[in-house]
Amino acid sequence: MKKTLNILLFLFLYVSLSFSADINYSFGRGLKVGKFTLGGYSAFVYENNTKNSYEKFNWEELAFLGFIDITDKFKFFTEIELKDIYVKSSNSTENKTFNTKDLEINRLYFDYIHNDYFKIRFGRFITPLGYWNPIYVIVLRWTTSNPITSTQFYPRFLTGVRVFGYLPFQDDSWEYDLITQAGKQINEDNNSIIAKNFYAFQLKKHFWENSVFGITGGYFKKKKRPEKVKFVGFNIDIKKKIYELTYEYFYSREKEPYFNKEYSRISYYLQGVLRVFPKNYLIGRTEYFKDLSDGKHIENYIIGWNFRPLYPISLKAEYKIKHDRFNNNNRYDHIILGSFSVLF
Amino acid sequence: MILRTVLILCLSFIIGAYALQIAVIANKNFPVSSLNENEIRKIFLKKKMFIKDKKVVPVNLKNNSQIRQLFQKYILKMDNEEYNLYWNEKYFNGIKPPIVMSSQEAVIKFVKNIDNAIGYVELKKVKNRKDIKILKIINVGKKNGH
Repeated sequence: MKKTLNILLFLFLYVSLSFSADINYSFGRGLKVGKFTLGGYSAFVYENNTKNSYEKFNWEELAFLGFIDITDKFKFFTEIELKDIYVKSSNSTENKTFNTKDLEINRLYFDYIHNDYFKIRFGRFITPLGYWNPIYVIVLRWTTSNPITSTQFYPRFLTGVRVFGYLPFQDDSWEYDLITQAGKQINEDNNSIIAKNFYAFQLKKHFWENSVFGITGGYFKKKKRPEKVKFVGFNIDIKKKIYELTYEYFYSREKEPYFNKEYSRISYYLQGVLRVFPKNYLIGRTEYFKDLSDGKHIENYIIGWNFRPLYPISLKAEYKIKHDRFNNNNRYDHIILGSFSVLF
Repeated sequence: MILRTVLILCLSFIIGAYALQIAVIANKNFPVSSLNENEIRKIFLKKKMFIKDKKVVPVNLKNNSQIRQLFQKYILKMDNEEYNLYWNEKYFNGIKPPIVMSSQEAVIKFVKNIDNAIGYVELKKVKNRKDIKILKIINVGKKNGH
């Protein structure tokens, strides 16, 4: 019901605003109708695992963004997404075609911006922790694959309240984030980790022109499961004109109250990006993940190329070696990934 | 000695004639009378949206403007590629880039008429104007040297 209402609201805004004056479309920056902007993004992914001849083509996402500055202080933002619109795989159980029921509300929030030091967000939003998660969509990230670090430690989305801004000292170079989720959630089952209550903080220090160091920590309770999870992490991103270096680390401790057991997980990645020549980027990344509860151990090595013929378009090719180690069993996968993604 | 002095004077004149200065200008009601380069950079990248609790309105020149390119290089410290990728991320989060004006005259008119507006033009275009504020003057080298 909520989904239908959101779609109707979207269509109403789209149709009614399309007939109003002051319309302007620019590729990759959306359709502007007065104060309202309507845009989106899409991505197609090809995957081939040479080890087991697995092959998959996926029209992975088609999302629409709508946002408006209601006043100088209030802002509304929404994103609805169709996920896995068309899947053709060598494993036929994965095959799928378009279904309107797959439409999901990714984001739906209001911002109140008192000033640069105090902003509040209410609703469903991307968990703003770490470096990777806030820019997790294919068209923005450097590689088709996500590092394992970015998916295992906290939910991709939250429904709740975020208080954020600069700290009022040192030339506005420090940023803070306080986030909480409690009570009923919007589209709660569409998430990387289904969590109930969630509390987290983040502190970021900006340095040089475009570089940043961040620390984060939080606590959450899994939904319909007894586990309580505490996590900490830090990240550093050094960005210069032709290169970017990113390191991100997370550690979590999970408590299972019934049997009074505790498990730990650790993960990190190091990524380097080099602009080899205009619009062409070479990417290298190494990833590590270890689950101390079952001894599961993953190492990924990735080399990739990202070509951006126009700034809203990204064409990526990637070669990934995945090394799984579990109970002294080693498995190596060699995966080729390619994608076409676009902002519109 | 005289020849050397004449030569130096001629060179200074030539360099002076081609030296370019960009003025960061603002509406008369703009809440402050000067800004440093870091603050200007943050305003034009929309990392900073308020000055003394007033929402500021940055205005840009067209991408093919030489003044815009110099401003991007010396203040934003980005080339076109970096700049566009930066705004990809902002767009994904519902933040629009500054309004774009087609000429320096249009920027001056906009800044003059809109409260808390901030823009940039060649200094010579606004040197003797009393109806706008000059927040910062930036030396960016020769006019046709880029």
